[in-house]
Amino acid sequence: MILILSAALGLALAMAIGGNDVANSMATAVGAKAITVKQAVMIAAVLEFSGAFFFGAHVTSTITKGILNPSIISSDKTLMYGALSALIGAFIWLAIATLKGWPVSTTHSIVGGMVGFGIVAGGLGAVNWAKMLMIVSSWFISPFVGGLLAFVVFKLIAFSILRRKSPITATKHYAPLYIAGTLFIISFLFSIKTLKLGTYSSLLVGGVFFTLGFLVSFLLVAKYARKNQHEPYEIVEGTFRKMQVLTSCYVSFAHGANDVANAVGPLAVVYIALTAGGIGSHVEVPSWMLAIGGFGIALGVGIWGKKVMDTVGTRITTLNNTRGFSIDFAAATTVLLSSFFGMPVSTTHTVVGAVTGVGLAHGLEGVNRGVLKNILWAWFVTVPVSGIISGLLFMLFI
Amino acid sequence: MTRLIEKLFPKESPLKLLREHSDIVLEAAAYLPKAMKDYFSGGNVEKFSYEVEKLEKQADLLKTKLRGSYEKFRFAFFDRADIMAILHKQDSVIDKVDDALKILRMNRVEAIEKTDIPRLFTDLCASVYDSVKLMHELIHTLTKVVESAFSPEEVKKEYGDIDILENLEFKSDTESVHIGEILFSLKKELNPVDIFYLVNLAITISNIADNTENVAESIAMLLKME
Repeated sequence: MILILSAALGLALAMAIGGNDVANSMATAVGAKAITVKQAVMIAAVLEFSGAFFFGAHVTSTITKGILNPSIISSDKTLMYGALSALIGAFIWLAIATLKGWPVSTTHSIVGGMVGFGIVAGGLGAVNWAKMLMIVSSWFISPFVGGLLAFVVFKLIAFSILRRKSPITATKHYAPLYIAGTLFIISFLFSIKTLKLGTYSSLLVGGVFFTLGFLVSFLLVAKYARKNQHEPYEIVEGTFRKMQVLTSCYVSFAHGANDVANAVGPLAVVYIALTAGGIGSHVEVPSWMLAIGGFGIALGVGIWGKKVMDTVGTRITTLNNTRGFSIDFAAATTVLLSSFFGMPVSTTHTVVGAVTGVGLAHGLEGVNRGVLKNILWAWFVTVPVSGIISGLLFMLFI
Repeated sequence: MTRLIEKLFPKESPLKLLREHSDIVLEAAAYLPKAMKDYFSGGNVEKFSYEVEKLEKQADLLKTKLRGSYEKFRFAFFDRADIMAILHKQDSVIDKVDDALKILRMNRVEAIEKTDIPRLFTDLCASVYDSVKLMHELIHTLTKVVESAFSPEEVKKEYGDIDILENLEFKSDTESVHIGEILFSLKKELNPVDIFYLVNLAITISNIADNTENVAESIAMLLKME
């Protein structure tokens, strides 16, 4: 019964992530008119599922087995009701935050929920504080890295293409390198973490994708530039518009890989407690559970994503494609690297960091400082509040 | 975390608002040569003045919008104060067009049909309108400069246009001084009140070009800071 309830809640949370958070991660691509809302929904549905299924186990493991100390919380009942409390607690806090329009992260809420029930169930010692320190650090590091990467990528695009005497020739030479670089990162991380190949083999796979990506994109970019007789900067932006289709897929994949854990992490705790009798480090998160999470996200995108993205797409009018590409590439790389290290980070906050990075590189018309302030207070409030709600619910259940 | 990302970006591009403001200024300035032609052929110039008044109101609305759009934002291409300074100077152009048209409504000069004065005023208006057109072009290409991440090539082109605008302003200035010289040389034939009226009109029209030059200088300062 608890498993069914947890599965239903996990699926609902996954759908909420799909309907809401995906719009934020795809907002820059839709806003920069790189993809239509329909395309965004299709890309998100497929790539979110793929990211969740193939790359989601690492972060899910952290939420399932990394936050709490299994030697202190060993009772199956405690674990099951605790995970359920964490899920419901996160749900309640996210619902309040959504109604109030606060920029609260699903990731932070779930982690807070797990910590809250852990402290009530087993005291302060029940929480693996060393891991928590790493997780909380990653919340600060990820927007910073996203921002730094976006700053560097935009400056690279500016110096290698935009500021050149002939931006079209420069686009033909350098744009394929950016595409190839993106493919290298995805294929390398996928090989090393999902296919579990060795470093050298993964580098080889990455190298193959880099070379193929470079050759194919070199021909395509040259053809695109030849066919279009627009102004040079229109051709540059047009090329990056096409490239943003790739980074949109990248963002979706990275988002699915990281955020599926929010939905299925607590569910995995319930399942593991029931089947393996505890959350020891030897227990693996089953693939079907990741599939449920991925399916839930895809379903949420399909049901609510279009409406949310429609709004986002018409309201972001000041972003062009070179800037959008920098933001998407930086955010997706940071989130995928976080997933590689098993760190549950907020994709939206990373995107915010990336937008700020491009803003600092003088690439944008402005960044709303009010949103940045709101995010800061939301960081400090979310974990304690969702933790308290989860702890109180746990006390009610037990 | 609904619509967090969209809130990060300005609802309307400040540079787009500045461009729209310059479109209105250009539209208003286009009435000046027509009004001048009608004035010297004895036609009605009031309709042009009313049209410019309407445009001025639209420009004021854009000014308020632009001021508001920068309030919450950081890391913009340009400093808010610099953009507001350009806007203020650009707005002075439409103010001066309005002033010139209002002066035309005030008085009818007589006995100048056989002089060079109508042609000189028509030429002055054409030069001034050219400078407004170039200012409008500068504001529009500023977006291109920004899109190119301040490419030296684009900045160079912008500086080139700024130089041309400065020359146009000099031309308008020379033309207005020449009109003054001609007018005072006709002091025995023309009504003294009409002479001072026309001198004032020439100075007001030439001030339009002065203001376009001020906009260009502010753009040059902005580009130097980058």
